[in-house]
Amino acid sequence: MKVLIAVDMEGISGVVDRSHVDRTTAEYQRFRKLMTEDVNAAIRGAHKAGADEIVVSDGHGGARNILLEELDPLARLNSGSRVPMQMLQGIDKGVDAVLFVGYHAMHGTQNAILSHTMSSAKIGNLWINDRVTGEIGLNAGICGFYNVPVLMISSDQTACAEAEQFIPGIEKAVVKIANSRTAAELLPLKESQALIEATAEKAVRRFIAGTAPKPYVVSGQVQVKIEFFHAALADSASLLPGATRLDGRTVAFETSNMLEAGLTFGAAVSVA
Amino acid sequence: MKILIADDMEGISGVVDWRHVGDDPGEYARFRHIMTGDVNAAVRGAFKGGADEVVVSDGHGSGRNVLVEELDRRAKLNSGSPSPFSMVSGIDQNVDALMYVGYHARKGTLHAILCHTWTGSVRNVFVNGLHVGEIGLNGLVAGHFNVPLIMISSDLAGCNEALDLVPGLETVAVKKATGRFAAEVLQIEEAQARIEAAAEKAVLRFKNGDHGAPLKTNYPVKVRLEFDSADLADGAAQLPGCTRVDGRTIEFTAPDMPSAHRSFRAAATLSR
Repeated sequence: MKVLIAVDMEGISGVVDRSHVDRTTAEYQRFRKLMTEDVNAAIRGAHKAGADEIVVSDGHGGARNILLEELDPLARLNSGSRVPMQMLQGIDKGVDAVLFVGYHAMHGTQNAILSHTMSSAKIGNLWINDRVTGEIGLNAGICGFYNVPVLMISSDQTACAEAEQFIPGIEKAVVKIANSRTAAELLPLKESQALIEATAEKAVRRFIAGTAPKPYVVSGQVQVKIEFFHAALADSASLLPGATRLDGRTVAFETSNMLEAGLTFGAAVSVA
Repeated sequence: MKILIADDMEGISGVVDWRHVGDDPGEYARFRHIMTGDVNAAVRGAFKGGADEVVVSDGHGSGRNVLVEELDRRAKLNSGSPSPFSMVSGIDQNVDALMYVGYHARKGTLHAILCHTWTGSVRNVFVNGLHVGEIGLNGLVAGHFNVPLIMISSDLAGCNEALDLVPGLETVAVKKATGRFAAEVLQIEEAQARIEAAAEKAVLRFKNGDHGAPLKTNYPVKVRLEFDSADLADGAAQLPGCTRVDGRTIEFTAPDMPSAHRSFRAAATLSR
């Protein structure tokens, strides 16, 4: 059984502030270590439950955050950016199930650490077929395109609740209780990592037993509607083939499936 | 008769270095003034030749180079970026003929000042197999609206590139390059007198029907885009619907030349 662990940074144990996830700061060096430890906890749990192949995909920023020298040797690592599958590099390579570690809530969510949708400088809202969607729903939808279920998430309580909306029954490791966008009550690290390990183990056991959540499948044609922070960003995104300008801040694309939808959204964020 | 003057900066009188066109603030300030002088010379010539309306579209960088306070008061100015037709902003507004001022040769040309194609990252562009730089790309967009190119000011290599596309075009070589950053340059006064005379003659010839045909290509348009290195093509390959040809190359098909131009601009942005 092959498990892909897709990792982001805002929902990692202890993270509450932008300085923690910004590679130009000294704080970042602390948190990339904690990020690696959260990932190791998920690897241990998945392995205990019976995963025999584990791939970790670093999905934060330029995807050069996880410390390879501290990563559990059971796993292989996808590192570096500008890859076809973005935050889910490797999803097209025969993966059976996905775990989200360190994910975060969509932009504009109350009480959610560093909530944003792909770019905290550009994106106000993303709709997939009229459903407001963040990175959790978007990436779960891309997994769904490959008929792969997302079994677990580790994050704050709000992102975990968001995941439940898209993937009913998903296993959740709530490693912090956010009180604002940049403040949270944090579990002690040992407890947090033990929780991630136990959650990953349970999630994979459920998958093997056939009781895991179903893949989040968005079938048929997919409309991507993006509201940018301001009109200049939408001006630039409108250069992409197939773009329809809906109003000053909003651009829409009709795509043929959820994978194309996800990749088009990624391109629009980059070009804006 | 309405004339659109599309300007760029690398082919402006006296320019031989990136410092002149933006990299050095002091030098850039000198050359914006000279750029405005070259543009004014073309405006004067166009009106002398019989134009009723002259619009200038500032096409260098973000389109904020021409000094509006020094611009001939009879001309209108398109400034700022992005705009729907970019360097030929306004080409869809009932323009009769197009002039280039300060244009430059495509990337890789022998003895051509600051030769490049749009960004630093693009190596070669082929439109339906035709090897083009900015002269050809923007000229083909003008051709979509049946607008012929009637004059260019540039260095000798830029003028020759334009002549290959539009035989008999009025040209003003304000400098003869001996390298990418070295040229024998005309004195400013002499260069601007020649630009004025060429613009006047171009408009007179246009009135008499003595001009080249608008640049056209078959639709749909197949664009092949080679970048300097594979990481740049990795980024550009995010363009929805494109095909990765090899390490440095992508291809895409667009229904018409304005769409091809937008996709090209998006791909150039995505490559960085």
